[in-house]
Order: sequence, then structure tokens, then C-alpha cells
Amino acid sequence: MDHSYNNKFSPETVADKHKSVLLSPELKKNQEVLTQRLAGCFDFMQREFSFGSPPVKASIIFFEGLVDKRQIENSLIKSIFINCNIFFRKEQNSEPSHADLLDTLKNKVLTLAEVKTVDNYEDIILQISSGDTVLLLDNCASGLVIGTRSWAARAISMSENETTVFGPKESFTETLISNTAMLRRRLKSSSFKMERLTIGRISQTSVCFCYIENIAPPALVANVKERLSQIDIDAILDTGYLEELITEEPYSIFSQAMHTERPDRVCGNLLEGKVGIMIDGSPMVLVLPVTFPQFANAPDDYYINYIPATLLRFLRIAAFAVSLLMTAVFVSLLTYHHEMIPTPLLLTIISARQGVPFPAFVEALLLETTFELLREAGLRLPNAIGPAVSIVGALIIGEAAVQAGLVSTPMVVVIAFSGIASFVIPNYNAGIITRIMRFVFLIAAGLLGLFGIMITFILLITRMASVSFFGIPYLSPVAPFNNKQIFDILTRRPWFSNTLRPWQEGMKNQKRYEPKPAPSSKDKKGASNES
Amino acid sequence: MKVKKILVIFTLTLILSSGCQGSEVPDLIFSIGLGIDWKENQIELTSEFIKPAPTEENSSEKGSSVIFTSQGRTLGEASNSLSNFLPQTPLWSHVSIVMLSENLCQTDVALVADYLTRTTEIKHNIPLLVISGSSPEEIFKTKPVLEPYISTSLALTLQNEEKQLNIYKPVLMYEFMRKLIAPGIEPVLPQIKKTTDGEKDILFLDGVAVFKGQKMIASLNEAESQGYNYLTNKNITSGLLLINNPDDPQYFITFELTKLLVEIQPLIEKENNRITMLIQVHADGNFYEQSGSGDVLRLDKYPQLEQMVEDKINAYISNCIDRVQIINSDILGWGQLINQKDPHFWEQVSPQWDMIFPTINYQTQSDFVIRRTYLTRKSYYFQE
Amino acid sequence: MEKISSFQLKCLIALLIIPAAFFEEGPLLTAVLKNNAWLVPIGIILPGWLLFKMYLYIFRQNNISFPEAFNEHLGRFWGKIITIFYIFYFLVLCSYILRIYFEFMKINLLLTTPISVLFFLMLFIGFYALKKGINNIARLSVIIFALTIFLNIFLISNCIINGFKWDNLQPILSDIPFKASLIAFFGLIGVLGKAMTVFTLADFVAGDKEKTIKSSLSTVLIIFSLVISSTLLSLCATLHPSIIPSLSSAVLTMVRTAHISYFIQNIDILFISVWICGIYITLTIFWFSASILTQKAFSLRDNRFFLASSGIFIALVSASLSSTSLGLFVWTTKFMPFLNNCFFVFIPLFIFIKSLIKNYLPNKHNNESLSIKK
Repeated sequence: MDHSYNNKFSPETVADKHKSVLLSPELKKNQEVLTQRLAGCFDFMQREFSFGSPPVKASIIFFEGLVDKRQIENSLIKSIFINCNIFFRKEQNSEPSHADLLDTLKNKVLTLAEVKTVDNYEDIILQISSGDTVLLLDNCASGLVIGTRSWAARAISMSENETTVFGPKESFTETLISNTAMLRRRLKSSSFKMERLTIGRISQTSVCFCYIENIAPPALVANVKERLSQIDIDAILDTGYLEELITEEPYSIFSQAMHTERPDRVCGNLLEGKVGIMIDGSPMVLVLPVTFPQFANAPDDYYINYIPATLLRFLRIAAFAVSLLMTAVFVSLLTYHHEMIPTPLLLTIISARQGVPFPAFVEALLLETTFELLREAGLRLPNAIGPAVSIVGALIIGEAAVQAGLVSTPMVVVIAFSGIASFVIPNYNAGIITRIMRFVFLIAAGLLGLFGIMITFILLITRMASVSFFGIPYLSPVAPFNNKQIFDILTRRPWFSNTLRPWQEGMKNQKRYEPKPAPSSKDKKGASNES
Repeated sequence: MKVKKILVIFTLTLILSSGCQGSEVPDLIFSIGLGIDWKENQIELTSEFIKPAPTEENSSEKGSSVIFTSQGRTLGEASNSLSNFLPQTPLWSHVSIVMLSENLCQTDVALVADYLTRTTEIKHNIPLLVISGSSPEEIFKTKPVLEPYISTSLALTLQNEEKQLNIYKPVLMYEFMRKLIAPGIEPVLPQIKKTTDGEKDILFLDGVAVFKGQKMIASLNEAESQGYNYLTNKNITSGLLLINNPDDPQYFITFELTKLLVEIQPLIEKENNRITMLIQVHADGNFYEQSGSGDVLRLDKYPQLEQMVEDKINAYISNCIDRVQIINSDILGWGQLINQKDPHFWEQVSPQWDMIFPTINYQTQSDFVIRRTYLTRKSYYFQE
Repeated sequence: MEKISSFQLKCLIALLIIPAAFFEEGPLLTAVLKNNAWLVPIGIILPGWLLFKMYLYIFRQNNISFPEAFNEHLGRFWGKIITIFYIFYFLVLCSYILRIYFEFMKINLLLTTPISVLFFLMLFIGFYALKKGINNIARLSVIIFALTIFLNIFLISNCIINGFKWDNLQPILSDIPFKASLIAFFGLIGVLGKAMTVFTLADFVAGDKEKTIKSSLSTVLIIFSLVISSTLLSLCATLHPSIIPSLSSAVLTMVRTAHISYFIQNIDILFISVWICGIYITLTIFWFSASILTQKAFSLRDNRFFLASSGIFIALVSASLSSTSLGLFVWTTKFMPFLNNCFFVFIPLFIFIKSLIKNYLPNKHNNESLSIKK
């Protein structure tokens, strides 16, 4: 039994077995080899034809569903038929070699935009799997790869997970090339680089990492490239795989990269010296390195006036604290620190908690778990019934539970409020951290009250302060404190004074633009002056 | 490494599950008011506990309370003995008022002062009252009219009275305890009395109880209490002053105080062994009300009106000081004032302060200014 | 490894001396000086500055490093002996701080929790932080310093707004007994002298070490004065000096009078909970200093073994300091000021004088030789 696939470090892989087997000059043999290799693939198509005088046998191979057949018909086969016959009638005396024929086809006949040569079976299979068409000629040990990619893909639509009121609405799709196109349209500079790798022994996924050359630290780019190239896995189906495979802290719950499906957000981060990683087949792009305070930033911040943007940022920071601590603090007050509750509120709570059979801690745990279940169920349900079930779950079950005396109304309100606060966090990854840590804080509160909450808080920030991703401390610029950058986190600087990018070690160019004085009312030329 | 981690988690679990038991709200019964009496050489503790209200939506009951009484040789014993018959643990952290009976205060406040200061549960910034003419149980059994609980009703009454009339300043527990301990000043506490108008019982503030050392020795009436408040309260911004209408003495003119500040300077003549207190009063007020008719509100009449108000203020202050000197309890803090001005002199005189205090002279000088007259600038003039 | 920046160092030193000072100095100063207690932290600025100058002089010649300076000035043998004493004293300080804080918590809060559980938890998180390294503790100190200072300002201003009585502070500067002033002065200077511990961290400081430590010490001196004097001022003004000496924790009693419109009351628990972060940093720094000194004195490769065993030592000493809270009060008012002054004032003073004399003597020797030449 072949165990080579079980050992990820085994040098022998499926691809390795067939690597570098060159094409045969005989067309028939090539066809036989390819048919044999791709046996069982019903979408594998071959179309034989001949052209010219004397006739030259040729074959085109492709996977149905990945190609634009019209392009094959009009730009490939038709070009060959029309042009080659005309061309060869002129030069009847000389019989060009088939290698020359290939060159002629490539340089003078074919009207398609993308034409490359290929000389081994593995590359042929890779290319036709990517949607290209391969043209093979008889008596020629090379073939031509013609770009005919076209498949039914999801159209560019609005982002479902990162909605904004202002600003661009389009989001990435599963097609790498359209994603790169969206970025290229926004960053029309020669220093905007996109490098491509292929990762995954079976999936052979195209992975593209992009950066802006004179802004991103070279060490970061090299680090990311090295980590990506060291990945050894059978398939990459989403960018989430990459995050775990290139991380420095594999056992950390903290999100080490930002996942986004918005091209404007990726461009904004690239302009701050970060690196973006995207793959073919996933609309999510990884942006790294990211620090925890940056999770409070939303794309909207940069599209509205800086004053409301700053206030909204404060709201998000407060919402983060509320979603993390509110339930735990409430449980600790109810269980240990009754004297802190204002007397009128205490009277309400006493009345509400009459007859509830569970201690506050258990009640909170049950409600939190129910809330998480509802949240997960809402994600899995079909769109048609999802909202209805969420409303049913939240309202009716909550109402029924309160009326049955299983839970108290104040606890339901607290859980709901902290749940809503968790939705305010713009980043899903940060939200997940909050959801997990909320339970930890709740347990600590149930055991030791406010003291337990503080112990957990100290442990949490110690852990976060000790973690660095790609050389950047996770709590930067809060810890280590950077007074210049801290305002970028707490406030949104107005564009007229936002001259510097957030600093990263090794960054070459921190200046966005030369500082100018803020626009003032004295600069205005009113109508009275013009008269 | 794995074994180490398991060991740490196991130890943590063991330790964290030991003895860190909190108390659930349904297992507790919250007290919102305390009444302490001294009966038959025992402390009698009466407490008003919150009775949880039903949670029906349309329930008209806001909440009710239940009164429990317990006895003990000390306050601590009395409070703990409530557990003999209560199904829940009493919690004292929401007590909003503590009432001491007259009997207890006249016997010895030190019977309860230590426990009230030492316990962590009872807040130190709650007001104290002395019950005059009744027992704490009778006070608690009074049916509250506008508030659900009698304790909160009394606490709010004190606050409201301070805002409106400013005759009695609420005395907080830590302030009372401080004055008990500090030399050169004696504490006072507002008094509460119970009366009935035939249909319902009414609790009202009437006078202050004067302490000397650990015991209550006398009371000041309302006028004397007003004088005491003028002399000791640095923050008088309300209150009414009635004077006779100068044109028609059977009627009254009312002024509303907006500010009253008293500065007391001790004048120490060591050679003559004489101490004189120079009391300067600066007050502002508004013309509040004129009962009867008569053209009183004229600018030329202002000096006369102001003089009458100043005399009234002086009268309040004099009444208070005279009474306090008769009682011979330095509730005005004159000993502290002398200590602040001349600590050496205070060291010499403090042992004989009881003999010196009644002999201290004082001079009062008031300065009152009429500021505003509300909606009408002139006296309301009736056609004859 | 990332070094400690200037700002981080300031926060570290501030957290090293301020949180524990609330417990140590409050009762002592108010007991001896009553209403003038708040003047002492202001008056300590000049002597404190001189003290820090003395430290800088002692450690300057040895690259600002702690044990090397003792070896240099006292010889290898005595230097090592003194270093060992300092190691034990830092551990005793950890035990004392741990015990006094949890005793205070037991009185006011978690009455049923065994104190051993609290010790274990605190030492566990301290151990965790030390395993992560001093640069992480430095990062944490910035966050915790901001939290504690914000809370301190809020509470002081709340107490001042709600219950400030100028009369309680009078008479100011009048009739201060000389003995009382000496006790107060030495009590406070001993607490301030704990900042000397920062020289054990000299190797981890970024940039120009001497300049960084010098500026940090100056800043912290001002912050310390302001914080402690404002706390004592509001204490005396709110509670009256006659009642303060009889309170277990006057600061907590003052905090219990704080309220927000009488709606939110009893926020002392919040104060205690945030305060614990400051105590945690204090404990961790002293513990770390002890481990660094041990590592240097005995040329150990790493300090992990020491951390574990010293944790047990701290817990045991904490538990055995005193069986009653009154005994702990005696430690606070008598033993700790004496020990603080010995280790942070008198021993450095002795070394300072010795160093001065040593530097002065070669000049005398040169003059004699010149005269001979003549």
C-alpha cells in the first residue's frame, strides 16, 4: 500500500510522479497519454483537425465548462483555418518545420491575447484545469496554451458581511483575476506588485500576494513569501487555511490577519505598508500584519467626516468593552457585590428574579449559549426562513422563557444588549474573540466576582501583549505605547493632517504626502470679491 | 509538558472550586432602614426589609415591605439574631437611613457607634435621625403615602427639606461619628416625630437633638435649629424668612434666601482671658411673597426691609447660641475654631472648655441684600 | 528582545511605588501629622530628588547595573552578600505587598474566599507574566498605569466635589512636632526609595540608559508627590484627621463615600478591582528584580527554577507575616519603614559616601607626589 500521501513531508506526490514528462512529437501519442491520465473526467474534450497544405494534424484540448467555446471557434480554430491556408499558399515551395509552424501560429496567426508555449504533460493539465485551451501539433514536441478562460462566476456584488453606508459597495468574488483587476484599477502604480504562487498538491491553487513596493517593509514581504512557499498541503480552498499555515502562534485564539471582501479596504491597508493575500476560489482576502486595536476601524470611517468617524470609533471601542464584560459584571454584581447595584434597580431585579430556579451564573450561561446557538442557526438557515426563525427564536423563546420563570427579564436584556454590542465590532474575527472570551469572563465572574474578572483581564492582556505577528506586537500602538500612532486608533485624523502612515519596522516611506495647512475660511473667495 | 499542563489545570480547578460562594439575590433579604432602641437594658433592632413585588405586568403594587424586630445585648448580636427567624440572609448594604431612639441617645450612643462604624455592610454616607416621642417600630409601621417604603420616604424627606426650607441639614453617619470623636465639637441629629391628622399618620421633622459626649442632653426647637443651620452650614442656598410688614404688622413679608454664608472669627484676648466670637453673615435673597396689601416693594423701602431681615437672622442666631450655651454643648464647633486659629491656646483651655463655653461673648453682624422680585416689580396693588 | 522605552519605564516605576504607598503611608502619615499629612509628599520632592541623584551616582560607573555596582564599591565578597540580602528583601516586599492587599480585600470584600486561593491566583498570573518577559510587563504597565491614574483622578475629584471641608485641613503648617515630621519623612522616603529597584532593569532599557532612567525617576517623583498628596489631601478634607487613624483603611472609607448622584454608590469595589492591577505590577517587578539579581549573582543561565521556588517562598512568608491584621499594622508602621530605609536609603548612602571618599583620595595622593617632585 502506498503510504506516501499519508506523510506530508514525503517527497513523492501525485504531481511529482508525473513531473517533467515531456511531450512526444507524435500527436497521437500525446493524445493517448492525456486520455489515459484524464480517464474518468467526462468534461475533458479533445477536438482533432488538420489545416494547411500539406495538411498538418492538430488537436485542441480543454475542459468543458472552463472555456469560452466561442473564442475557441472564432479566434482559435477559425484563425488557423483562414490565415494558415492563405499563408501557406504563398510559400508553397518551402515546407516549414512544425516547430516553426508553432512559432508562426503563435506570432502571426492566432488573434488571442494570451498565448504561451508548453512542453510537458503536467503543465498542460494545469493549464487546461485553469480554463486555458492547449493546441498540439503533430510532429511537434511543444504545444500552445491559449487563454480562453471563461466560466460561470458570481457577478461582482455588494459585500454581504461588511456593509457600509458610504463608500464603494463592490466586493471580491471567487475569481482571482477579477479580484486582482479590482485592486489594479484602484492602485494604478508600477510599485503595486502582485506576485503569484501555486500552493496545494492536488488543488494547485493560485495564490497571489500583493504589496506596494516602496511602502511595505521588504523584510515583511520576504517573510510572507517565504512562509507561503514553505506551505505543503494537499489543497487550499480558502484564505483561512493560509492564515493558520503561516502563523507564528499556532495555538493562539487571536486573529492574526484581517479577513476582508472589500477591495477598498485592502487598498487602504496596502497603502499603510501591509501585505494582501488572495486565492483563486475565495472572495476573502487576508491582510497582514494586523494589530488588535485596528479591529475597531471600519471602512466607513474614511468615507465620512472625521468628527462623526471619531465618535463612532469611541462607540465601537465602548461596544467591544460592553460585549466582553457586561454579562460578567452583571453576574458578579448579582452574586457577590449587591451593594454596588443602585437600590431602585435592585428592587426591580429582586422582583424580576423571584421564582427563577437557577443561580445568576447558570442563567447567564444558559442564555449566552442559547444566543450563540441562535446566531449559528441563523447563519445556516436558508434565506427564506432564516430571519423568521431568528425573530421567533429571539422574541418568542425569550418571552416564553421569562413567562415560564426559567430566566429573568433583566438577564435577557443584558445578554441581548451585549450580543448587539458584539455586532457593532466591524471585524468578524474580533467578534469571534469577544464571543469566546465572554464565556471565560463569565466563568471567572461566577467564581470570584469582580476580582475574578480582573484576574482574567490581566491574563488576557498579558497574553495579548506578549504576542507578536510578523514582528509587530499585537497590542501596538497601545502596548508598546506609541504616542504618534495612538491617535490613529482612537481617532480618525482628518485627511488634511493625515500625512504619515502608521509606522512599521523597516518601512521605507512613511509620508503619504507633504503636510499642508488645513483649509480655512480665509481661503474662500466669496461672491462679493468676484464682483 | 502535557502532564504539567494537566496538573496546572487540575490544581486550578480544585482551588477555584473551594469556598468562593457568592449569594444569590433570592437567598437574600435587603434591609432599607434601621431603627435602634434601648429597652430593658437590651438593644432592640427594628428593620424594614424589602418584600419582593409580584411581576405581573398590570400589577398596581409597586412594592411592599416587612418589618422585623430583634433584640440582643449588642447591636451586632441583635442584627445576627434576625437569622433565627428569617428564611433568607439579611443584607444591610442598602440601608438608606438609621434611626436612633431618644432613649438610646439619652443613655449612651457608644452602645451602637462602634458597630455602625466597624461594619463593612452599612454605608457611612447615610443619614441618621433621632426618634422623638415614639419607638422605631411605631415609625416603621406608619403607612407611607407617596413612597413604597417608609425608610426611603424619610430619607427623601430629609433631602427635600434641605432643598426647600433648609432648616435641618441631614447628618451623615461618618460626620456624626467624626463629631463624636473630634475634640472641640459636639454632634447633633435631626429629630423625627409622629403625629396624626385623624385619618393618617404623619412623620415630620421637628428640632434637632443635641449631644454632649456620648449622650443626648437636650433638643433645639425649629427656630433654634434654623439658627444652628445658619451658623454651621456653609452651603445655604434656600429657605424662607418671614418678617412683619412694616406698614401693617399683622401681615407678613416673605423673603427667599438664595445665599447665606456665616464667617465666625474667634477673637482671643489672652490677657483678659476673654473669647469673643465675631459672627459675620452675608446673605442674599429674593422678595418671595407679601401677604396683605400695601406698597412695600419700593426701592426707598429696601434698606428698611433689609434691616428687618438682618434683625431676623441675628435673632435666629442669638436664640440658638443662647440656648446652646445654656445647654452647655459646643455643637457650634467653637472649640475647633479656636484650635484652628491658635492651637496652643486651645491646648490650654480645652480641659476647662465646659466652663468657658457658656461665657463666650459673641457679636453678630448681618448683611442682607434683596436681589430679585420674581414676576412683579411692585407690590400687588388692590383698588380700594 | 525589545527593550523598555522611556515611557514604559516611567509607568513601571510609578506602578512600582504608588499602589502600595496607599496602604503603607496613609495610616502612618495621618497618625503622626494629622491634618498636615498631605504636605509631606510635596516636601519630599527635594529630598527625593537628592536621593535619586545619589542612586545615579552610585550606579553610573557600572553601566547603571545593580549588582555590579555593589561588587565595584564593596568588593566581590561583600557585594555578593549585600546582593543576597537585597534578593531576600525584594521577596519579603512581594510577600508584604501581597499580604497587605489581600488582608485589605478580605476585610472589605471576599470574606469567604480562603486567602491562599487569592495568593495562588496572584502569584500564578505574576509567574505567567514573568515567563513572558519583562518587555511584556512593560507593555502592560502602560495600560495599567493609564487605568489606575484615571480612576485615581476620578475618585479624588468625586470625593472633593462631594465632601471637601476646608476646615478639616486647618491649622495648616502649625505646630508640627519635630519627631512626627522625622517619622513621616523617613516613612515616605523609604517608600520613594523603592524606585532604586529600577536599576535591576537597567540592562533592558533602550537607548541611553542613564538619561532614560534619570528622566523617568524625575517624572515619577513628581507624579508620586502629586498622587499621594492629593489622596491625603482629600482624605483629610473628607474624613477629618481625628477619625483616620482608627480606620483600617482610610482610603477605602473615603472611596466608599464617593457616589454619582446618589445613584451609583459603593464603587469601592471598582476601585479595589482596578487597584489590583497596580499591585500586580508592583509584585511582578519586585519578583523579577529578585530573579534578575539571583541570575547575575550566581551566574545562572535562566531564572525559571528560581521563579517557581521563589513563588512558594513568597506565599509562605506572606501567610506567616502576622496572624492578625493588627500585627500587620505594626509591620506597616514600624518594621517596613525601618527596612525600607535600611535598604533604600542607608545602604546606598553608605556606598555613596564610600565612593565619594574613594574618588577624593587619589587627588590627595597626587598632590603629595607633586610636592615631592618639587
